Amino acid sequence: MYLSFYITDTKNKLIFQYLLGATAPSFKHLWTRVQSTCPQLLEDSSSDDYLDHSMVGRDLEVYKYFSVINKLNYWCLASTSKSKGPLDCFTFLETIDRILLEYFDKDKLSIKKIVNNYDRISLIFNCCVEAGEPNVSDMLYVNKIKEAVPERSDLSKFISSTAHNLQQAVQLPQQRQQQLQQNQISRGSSSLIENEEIVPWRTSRASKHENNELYVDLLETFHVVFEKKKSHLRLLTGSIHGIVDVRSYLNDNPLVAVKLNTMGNDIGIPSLHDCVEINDGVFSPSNITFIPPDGKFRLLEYSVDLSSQVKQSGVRMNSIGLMSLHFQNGLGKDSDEFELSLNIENFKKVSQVDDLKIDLQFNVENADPNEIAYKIKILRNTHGRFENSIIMGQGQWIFDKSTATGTVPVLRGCIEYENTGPNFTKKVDLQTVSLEYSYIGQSASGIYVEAIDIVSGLTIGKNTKLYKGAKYKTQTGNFQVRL
Amino acid sequence: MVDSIHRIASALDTAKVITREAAAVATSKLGESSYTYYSQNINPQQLVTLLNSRNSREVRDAMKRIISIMASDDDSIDVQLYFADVVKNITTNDTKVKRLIHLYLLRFAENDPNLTLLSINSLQKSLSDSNSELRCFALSALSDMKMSSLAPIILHTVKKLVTDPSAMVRGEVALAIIKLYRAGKNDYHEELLDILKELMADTDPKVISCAVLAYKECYADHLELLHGHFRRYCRIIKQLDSWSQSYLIELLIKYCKQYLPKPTVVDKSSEGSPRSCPLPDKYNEIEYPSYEVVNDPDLDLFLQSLNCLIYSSNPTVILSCCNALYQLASPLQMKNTKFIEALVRTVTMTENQGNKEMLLQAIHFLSILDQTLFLPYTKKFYVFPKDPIVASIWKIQILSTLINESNVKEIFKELKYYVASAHFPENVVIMAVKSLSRCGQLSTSWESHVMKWLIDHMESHNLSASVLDAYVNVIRMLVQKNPTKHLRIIFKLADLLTVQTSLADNARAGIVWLFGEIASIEFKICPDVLRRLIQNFSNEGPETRCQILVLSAKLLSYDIDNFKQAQVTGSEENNQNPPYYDFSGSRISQMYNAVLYLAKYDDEFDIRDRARMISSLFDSGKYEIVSLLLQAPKPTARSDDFIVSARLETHTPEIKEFFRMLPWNTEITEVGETGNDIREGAELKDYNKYKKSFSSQSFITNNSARSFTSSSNAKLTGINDGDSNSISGKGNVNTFTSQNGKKYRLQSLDEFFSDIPERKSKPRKIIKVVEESSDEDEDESEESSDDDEYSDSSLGTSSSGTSSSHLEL
Repeated sequence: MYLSFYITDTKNKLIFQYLLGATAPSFKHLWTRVQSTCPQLLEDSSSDDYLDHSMVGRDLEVYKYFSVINKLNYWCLASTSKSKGPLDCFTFLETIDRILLEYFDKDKLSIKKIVNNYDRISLIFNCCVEAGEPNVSDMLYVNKIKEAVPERSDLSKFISSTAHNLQQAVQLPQQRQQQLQQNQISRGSSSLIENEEIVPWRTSRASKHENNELYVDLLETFHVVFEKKKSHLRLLTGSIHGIVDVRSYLNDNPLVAVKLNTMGNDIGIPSLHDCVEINDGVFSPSNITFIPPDGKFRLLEYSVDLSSQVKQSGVRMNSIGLMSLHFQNGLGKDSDEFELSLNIENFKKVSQVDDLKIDLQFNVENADPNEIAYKIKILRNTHGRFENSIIMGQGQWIFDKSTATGTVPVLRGCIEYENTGPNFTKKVDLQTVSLEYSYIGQSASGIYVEAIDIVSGLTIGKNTKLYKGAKYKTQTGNFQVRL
Repeated sequence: MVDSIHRIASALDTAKVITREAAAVATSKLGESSYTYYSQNINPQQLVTLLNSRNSREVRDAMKRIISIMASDDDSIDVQLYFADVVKNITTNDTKVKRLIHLYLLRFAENDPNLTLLSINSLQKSLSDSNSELRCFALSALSDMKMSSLAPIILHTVKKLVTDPSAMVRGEVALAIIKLYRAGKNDYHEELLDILKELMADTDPKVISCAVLAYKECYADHLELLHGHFRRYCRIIKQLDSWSQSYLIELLIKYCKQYLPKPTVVDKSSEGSPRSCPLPDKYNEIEYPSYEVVNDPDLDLFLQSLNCLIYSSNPTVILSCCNALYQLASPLQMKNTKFIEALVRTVTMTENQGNKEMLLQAIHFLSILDQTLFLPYTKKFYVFPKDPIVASIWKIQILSTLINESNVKEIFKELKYYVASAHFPENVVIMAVKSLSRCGQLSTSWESHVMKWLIDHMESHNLSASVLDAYVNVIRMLVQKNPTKHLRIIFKLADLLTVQTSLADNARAGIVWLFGEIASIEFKICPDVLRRLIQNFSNEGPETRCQILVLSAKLLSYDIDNFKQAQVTGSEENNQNPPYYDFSGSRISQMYNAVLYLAKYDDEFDIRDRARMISSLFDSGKYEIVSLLLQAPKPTARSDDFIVSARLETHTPEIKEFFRMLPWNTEITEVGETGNDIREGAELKDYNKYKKSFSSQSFITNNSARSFTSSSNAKLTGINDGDSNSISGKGNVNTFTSQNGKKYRLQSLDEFFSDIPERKSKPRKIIKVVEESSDEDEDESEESSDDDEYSDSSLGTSSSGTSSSHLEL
C-alpha cells in the first residue's frame, strides 16, 4: 500500500508531494528519517553504496526511481506487504512519470511545469492511486485521466479554436443554423449508463481536432562493443533498442495500420502497447493494427540482437550507425604517436551527424603515476578540438554541433614523456575509444515505416485534412572500440 | 475646489487599483506562469474571502492555492485552518473544485471528523446522480475518509452500488471494499466477502480487474473463491488491466498448487515401457534426459493463457509469467515458451535502475538453478561502459553462472578485460576477479591458466589493496584445491614474495599463509621461503609479520612430526638418531627462534600475544597439541567465502520471497460432495448485455454493426432512445459531427430499460431528474466557458446528448 509520493530534483530538493492521509509524513520528515536510517538512498547511481529502496521503519519502505528523461527523482513510501512483487513500486513510479509526460504532451517535463500545475498533478496522482494501490480500473490510460482532469486550454488554443469555429460559421452558415437548432432540441437528454467505450485507452469523448494528424517517431539507441583485430573491427556484443512513439490526433475512432519494414532484422519479442491487435498470438511488424489512444503514446519497443545476426550475415556490421573507426598506436619514429581516423559514411538521407564526441582512454594503470609523467599532445586534427581530462589518461575529441556525413576526420597525437630515465619503457598508449553522437533521418538498423494506413473509422470532411508522417532518429548508447 | 480635486484623485486611485487587479486576473489567464505568480500572491485573508465567495471562479482559485500549498510542503500557511471554509464548498457544481476538495479531505479528514461530516450529505446525494462518473467520484470520496463512524454508511452504499449499471462504479465498489477492509473492523469482513463474490462474477473485465486487486489485498487466503472462475479468468486474462494481470497470475499460481494435481513427468529417453514420476519439488531436478510433462487440463489452460501476455509492456507481468512457469512447469516447458527472451529483452531495455537490478537478480536466481535457460543470451550480459556499478556487478555474476566448456574462452577474455582495464570501478574489478575463479573451476588446465594470468598481472601492475586481496584469495582458492598439480605456480609465488616488495601487506600475508598450508604437501621449498622472509621481517606490514610468525611455527611443528616419523621408522632399523628433537641443531628451529625473538618485541600487541602463545605451546613440549592446532586441515575455500559486498551478492528478500517454491498440495479433494467438477463455471452477473465487447479486435469484425460510423438515420433512432449515443460531449460539436455522418446504435425501448434493472419500475421519473440536471449543467457550462480557462468539466453532472431523445416530443 502506498502512503505518499514525492518528486524531487537531482539534488533531492522537493518539487511536489502527494500524501494519501493525515499520517503520511511530509518530505521534510521523510528526509530526516532517510538521512538517519539509510543515507545511501540519497547517493546517485554512480556511487558504490547506491541503493534504490530501503526500509525506513517497521513495515515501511522507501523506493526511488530516477527518470532519465526528466532528470527528476520519484519517491514513494509504501508499507511492506507479502503480496507485493519485487518490481511493483519501481514500475509504478515509472508509469506515473510516463503518464505525466503523455498528459502534458511534452518531451521533457520541466520543474516549472510541475510548479505551475500543482493542482493538476495532484489530481492526476489522485486518479492513478486509489485505495493506496495502482488504480486498475483503466485509470492508468492517459485518455481516461484527461477525461477526469481536463487539460488547460490556454489562450492560443482558445483563439485558434474560435477562429476555426468562425471560419466554419462563415463557410457553412446554413448548416450551422440547422445544427444550432438541433442542438437546442437535443439538449436535455442524457443517459444513466456511461457512454460506451470502444476500447479503454481511447475515450469516447476524445477531443475534437481541427486536422487529423498521425505521426510515427522511431528512435533507435544502439549499444555496441567492438574489438580491434589487426585492421578490422570485430563485434563483441551489440544490440539496438528501438522505440516507436506515435502521436495521434484523429477524430472518431479509426483503425490504423502501421507497416514496419524490418530490413531482415529480427526484432525478437517486442513489448507492445495494449492497443495493438494480435492475431493468433503472433505479432508481425509488417502489419501493426491498432485503434490509437488520443495524443502521444509508445506503440512498441523492440530490441535487435546484433551479436546473433553477425553469425548469420557477417557483413554490414563494420559500419553500424554510419560510423567506422580505426586507430593505431606506435607510429612515428619514436613510436610514441597514435592516429585515430573516423569514417563517416555518406548517406543520402542523413546530411549531418550531431554532437559527435569521442572519448579516448589510454592505458595508464600499469604505469605508476609517480614514476612516469607524460602529456598527450595533439599534432594534427582535421575537425573539432581536443580536451585533456583531469582524470589520468583520458581525453576527449569534441566536434562541432554538427558534422557533415561523408567526411573522414583524423586525429594524430603523441605522448610526451617528461623524464626519460635509463630503464624507461614507453607504456602509455591508446586503449579504448568510445563514441557518442546522434543523427536524424535514418535508423541504425535500417528499419523504416513502410506505410501508415487508416483502415477504417475515420471520416474526413471537407474542412479537415489528414497529415501523416514518420521521423527517424538514431543515437548511441554505448559505442566502444577496444584494442 | 481643492476638495473636489481630492475626490477626483482618490476616485482615480481606486480606479487604478481596480484596473490593476483586473489586469492581474486577466494576465493570469494568459499563461501558466503568470497564473502561478498571481496564485502565489494570495494571502491568508484573501484566501478566506475567496473561499466564501459566491463566484465559483474565485473558489476555484482559492482551492488551487490550497492544493499548491499542500503539494509544495509550504509551512508558511496552515491550510488546516480553513477546514470549514473548504468543506462547505462541496456543494458546488464545479467538478474540478469537488475533486480538489476530495484531495483536501483525503489528507485532513481524519484530523477533524466533526467538520468532515458536513460534506457527507452532499456526497451521498451525488451517489444517486445520473452521471456514473459523479457516482464514482462520490463513492471514492466517501470511502477515502478514514473514519470508523462512517463505516456503516459506506458499507450500506457499497451494497447498494454493487448492482450499479455502470462498470466503472462497480469497479469503484471493489476498491471501496479494500478501504473498508483496511479500516480494520472485523465485523464487516463476512459481508464484504459476499460483495466481492458478486463482483468476481461480473462480466466486465474492468470490474474483474478491480475485484482481483481487492481479492489479492484482502482475501488472498480464500483460494476456494476461484473455483467457479478459474477457467473464465484464464481465458479473459488478456483483457484485464496489466497490473491486475500480474496479481491474478500470482493468485492462480497459488490456486494451481493448492487444487490441481501435480503434473507427471514421463521419460521419453528409454525405449519400451515409459517410466514416469511426479514433477520434482525442486526446479530442474528431472533425471530423464528427455521427457514430456502430462498436466491436468486446467493447468494446461492456465499455462497456455500466459502466452498471450508475452508482448506486455509491463515488466511485472513478464516476471510473474516467468514465476508461473518456474513454479508450475518443467525447465523444458519454460524454454519452449518465449518468456525467457522477453525477460532478457525487458532487462536490457529498461532505464529504470531499480527494476534493472531486480530483474538481473531474478535472472541470476534462475540461472543458478538452470544454466541452460540463459545460455543463448550470454552476450547480453557483457558489461557496457555506461552501466551503473550495481548492474555491472550483477551482470558479471550472471556471466559466471553461465560459464561452460564451450563459452569459457570468450567469457574469460571478457572478464580479463574488466580486470585489466583501468576505468572500471574497484567493486566491478573485484567481482570480475572472483568470477575468474569460476573459469578456473572448470578444469585443471583452466585452473593453472587463470592463476598464471593473475600472477602475471599482479607482477606487472600497480593494484590497490582490496583488488590484490581478491587476486590472492582466488589464487589461494585454486591452489588449495589441488596443490600438487600447481607446483610451478607455487614457485612463482615464492619468487613474487621476494621480487615484488611493494606488494600490499594483505596480499603478502595471504601468500605467506598459503605456504604454511602447502608445507604439508611440499615441505621442501617452505624453509627457504621463510629464510628469505626473515631478513626483511621488520619492514613487512603487521599482517605479514603475523603470518611469518605462524609460518615459522607451522614449519617447526611439521619438522618435529617428520622427525618423529623418521624415528619410528628408523627405530625399527637402527637406533642411531637421538631420541629427542634437536632444537639447537635444527635450522628450522633456529629460524623459528629468530622470528619469535623479533615478534616478541613487535609494535603490535597481537603479534606479541601470539608469539607468547606459540612459544609457551612449544615450551610445554606437548607437540601433539601443537600439530593439532597448527596443522588442522583447512577447508578449501569456496567462492562464496569471500564476499565483495553482501548487498550486491545476495538476492534481496523481495526476490527470494517472490520465487519461493510453493509446495504442491498432495491431498486434493478433487470432487465436491456431489461429485461435480469444482471448477465448473459459476453463474455470471451481466449488467450490460448490450455492451460491446472489450477488445478492439471485435471492433474490427463487428465494425459495421456496432460502431458509430456513418449512417443517416441517427436522428430517427434518437427519438425513442434515451441513451443510445455512444459519443456524447459538448452539444454543438456533436451535432456538427453527426452532420459528418455519425451513426448511433439502434436500441429498442425495452433494451434501454432492461439496462437499469433496479429502476425498472419508474423510468419516467428518472428521466425527468436527468433532464433537470442537464439543464442546469447547460447553464453552468456556458457560464464557465466564458470566464474559464478550462474546458467543460468532465465530471459535469451529466453531459447532454446529441441527436437523441427529448421527451417533450
